Amino acid sequence: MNLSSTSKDSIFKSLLQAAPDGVMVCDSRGVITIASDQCEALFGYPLTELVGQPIELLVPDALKAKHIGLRQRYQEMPRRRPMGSGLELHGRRKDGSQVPVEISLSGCVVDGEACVIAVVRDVSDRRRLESDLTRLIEQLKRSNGELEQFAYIASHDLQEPLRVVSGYTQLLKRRYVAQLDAEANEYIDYAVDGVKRMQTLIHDLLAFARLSTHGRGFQPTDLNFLLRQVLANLAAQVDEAGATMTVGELPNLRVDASQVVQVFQNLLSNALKFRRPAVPLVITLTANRDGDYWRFTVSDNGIGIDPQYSSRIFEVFQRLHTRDQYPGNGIGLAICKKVVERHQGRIWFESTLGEGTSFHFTLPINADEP
Amino acid sequence: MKSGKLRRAVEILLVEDNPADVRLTVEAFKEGTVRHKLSVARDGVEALDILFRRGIHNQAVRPDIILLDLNLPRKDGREVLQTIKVDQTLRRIPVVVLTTSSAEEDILRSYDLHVNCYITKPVDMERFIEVVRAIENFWFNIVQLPAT
Repeated sequence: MNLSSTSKDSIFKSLLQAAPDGVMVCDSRGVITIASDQCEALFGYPLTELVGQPIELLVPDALKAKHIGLRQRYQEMPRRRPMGSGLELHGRRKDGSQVPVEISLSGCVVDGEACVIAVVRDVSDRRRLESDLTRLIEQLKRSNGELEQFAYIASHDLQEPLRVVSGYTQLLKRRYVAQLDAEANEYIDYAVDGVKRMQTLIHDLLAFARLSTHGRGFQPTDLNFLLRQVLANLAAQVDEAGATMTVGELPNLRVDASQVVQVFQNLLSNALKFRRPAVPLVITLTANRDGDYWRFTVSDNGIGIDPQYSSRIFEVFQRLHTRDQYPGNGIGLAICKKVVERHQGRIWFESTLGEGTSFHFTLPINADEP
Repeated sequence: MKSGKLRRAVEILLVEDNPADVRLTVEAFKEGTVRHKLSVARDGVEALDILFRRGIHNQAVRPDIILLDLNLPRKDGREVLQTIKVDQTLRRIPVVVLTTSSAEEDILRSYDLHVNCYITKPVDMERFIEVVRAIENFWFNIVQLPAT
């Protein structure tokens, strides 16, 4: 395309005004010869007050003198580069205030004179976001610190008085069993039981809290190996339930193995626990690739879950049965959910009451470190 | 005295602030078989005064074993442990951390400070009595202690 010099001139002017950043051209003495409209908003000067002025007009007072030297050095070896890379630069506005900017420099020759083009971007918004982000991270660190403190208090300070209660109640029984009647002994057993339950609750809550504060980094892990560990842990329960277990081939994934073990363990032990007494228990575990995720499914032919409780079952300490029917604290699925979500996956279930349940969860092929 | 089996009563220093816990430990030791004398320090400062025979404790007997809780008023168990284990003579006294904490950081910290063993007190009284018996059996029947 052959353009006339008038067209070129017109395109140049439109380009200059269309650019979202302020554009200026300085001559070899550092005098502003061209400034785009955006410079007005950026620096608060009308263009007429900019053109013809030394560029140092827009440099913060403290750096004016230094800037002259830097500018002269740039002109000896002009090449396109960001100004002061790694530094936080500021422009000086007409009212004396400073505006955070990024500046890109390049050289050009106009009528035989070496000139400098400066493209100036207002980064106030980004700086504000960055400082908001830094503040939020600080807050988060502080609240994580407090959570750890809380977890420690739970593990130590709350246990102590409990231990005293159970210790003395048991001591009472031990030393005074002959003087107490059967009913008194029964009361003591209830008291000791209550304390023990409180202890497991504290222990479980602590384990739950630590999922986020004491999580480890993600390492490439053979999930088949993890599952073998889980099955070894559950061998006695599998035997007792007379369960038939079918396990598919599992993938290798980058995970926190110490946590994913708990997901398999909890889902399988739930399947073993909530079985129908008269029906031989069949449990299957499969893994299927689904886009950027692997989907894992633990299915059983147990008692099933009433759909009206579907939102509750993943919450901490939610139980659908009495302890006499099925023991447990109601922490297992809450742990599963937290672990899966920490790995950027999802967990849900499908169930028919009285027929069985399938728990599904996904783990991404490439999880970001939490 | 020759090292090994002690003919005199074993001197135990229990460092524990909570009187209810102190009594439980005392009662558990009563159910044991080893003849012992148990003294109690109620905080870390008192424990060190006893060990260094300072002030009113200038007649204190050097213990054969120290049972140390970690969370104590004034000077906590970690500081007491550190002071004991850098002292030329005191560091030979076996220190058993006996605490309710099962926090990993407490366990690691204690072993880093050269504790001789770390025991989390069981909640169950029967279990606690078993643990105390095991401490007695191990430290007073099996282990060779340095001659004092």
